[in-house]
Amino acid sequence: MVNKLQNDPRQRLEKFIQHIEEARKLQDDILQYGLAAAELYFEDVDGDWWETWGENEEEDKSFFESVIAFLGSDDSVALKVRKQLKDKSLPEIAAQFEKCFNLPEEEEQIFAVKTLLVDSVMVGGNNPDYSEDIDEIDEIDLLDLAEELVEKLTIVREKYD
Amino acid sequence: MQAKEIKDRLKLLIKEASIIDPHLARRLDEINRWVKDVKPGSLTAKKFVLLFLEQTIRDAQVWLDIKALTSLEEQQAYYEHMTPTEKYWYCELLSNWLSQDDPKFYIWRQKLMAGEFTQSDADLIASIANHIKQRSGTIVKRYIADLSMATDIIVSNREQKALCIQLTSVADEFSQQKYNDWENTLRFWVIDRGLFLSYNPSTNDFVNQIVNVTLYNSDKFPAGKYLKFSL
Repeated sequence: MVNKLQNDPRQRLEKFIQHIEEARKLQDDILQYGLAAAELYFEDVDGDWWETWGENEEEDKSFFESVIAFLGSDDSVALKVRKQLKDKSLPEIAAQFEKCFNLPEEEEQIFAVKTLLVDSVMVGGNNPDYSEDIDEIDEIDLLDLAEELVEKLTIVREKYD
Repeated sequence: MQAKEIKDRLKLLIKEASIIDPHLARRLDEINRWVKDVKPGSLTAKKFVLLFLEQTIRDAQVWLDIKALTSLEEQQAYYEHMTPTEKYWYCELLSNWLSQDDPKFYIWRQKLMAGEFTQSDADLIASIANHIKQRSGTIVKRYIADLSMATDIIVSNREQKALCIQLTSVADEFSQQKYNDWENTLRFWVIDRGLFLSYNPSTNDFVNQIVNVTLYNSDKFPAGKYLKFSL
C-alpha cells in the first residue's frame, strides 16, 4: 500500500493510477453506503482497535518513532537539537538521523549528524552571507552536539538490536 | 482487512512522508495522536474514524505520488489521469490543508465525542453526485473538505472549473451567521469560488434543481466570488 520510490516513470504512473482509482472507489462506496462502507473495508469495525491504539506504544515503537519521542523530550541534547533544527519537523529530523545511523561506523555516523546540523544552518539562513553565520557558530560545539546525540541515539537503538 | 492494520499503515506513511513531504508527515502524526487521545466512541464513531483514516491514507498516497514527480512531462501524464475536480482537490485544497494550521481540526474531536459528525444530508448528496456524474460532471467529496472547509461537495462541469458547494435546507437559510462563517472559511482556505445553496426539500424535483444550478455555476460563475442562492 505504501508508495515506494521507483525509477521507472511507467511504473510510477501505474502506481499513481492505482492510488487515484483506490481513492475514487472509497469515495463512491462512502457516497453509496454512508458510514456502513466501513464494513466493506474492515472485518472488525467494532473490535478493540481504537481502545488499543496507544497500547504497547513503547514496545511497538520503531527506532524511527523512538527517535521522534527522544527529540520531543526534555533531554538537554534533544533541546539543543531542536533549537539547531528549528525549521524542521520532528519526523523529518528523525528520518534524516535514521539515515545517518544506517552508516556502519560510529565515526561516519557522527560526521553525518554533524553535517546535518551544519547544513541546517546554511539552508535555513536564507542569507547570501551565510558563511559569516557559519563562522559565528562554534564548529566544535556542533561536533560535541553530534557526538552527544549519537551517544544518546545509540542507547535508544540498543533496544532494537 | 483487520482494523488494527490501519495504525501500521498510517505509521509507515508518516515515515515515507517525512522524506518526501514533511508537511504531510506532521499532519499524519497529528492524526495519529488525535486518534490516540480521543476516548473511543460508539460503533458509529468507529466507522467514521476508520473511513476518515482510510480516506486520508489513500489521499496521502496520491499526494506523495504527485510530490515525488521529477519532470513536467511526468506531471502532465499524471494530470491526464485526474478529473479537473480531483486536480483541484489534490493540487489546491489538500495542498493548502497540509501547509497551513487547520483551526477546525481539533474541533472535530468535540464533534466526534458529541456524535455531531453524522451527515443528515448524506443521501441527498449521494443523489446529487449520481445526477452530476450522469450528466458528465465530476465530483469530489471528502471529510476534510466537509469538516474543515465548509464544503459538502466539489463539482466541475464542461469548463473544467471546480466549484465548492455548501448545501443547506431553507430552515437554515436565514442564518446570516452561518453564511458569514461559510464565506470566512472559504477565504481562509483560499477557495476561489463558492456556492452557498439553500434548498426546500418539500419542493418537487429539488434534486434536479440543485444539480442544474450547480453545473451551470461551475461553468459560469466568476472567480473570486461567493454566491448565496436559494431554490
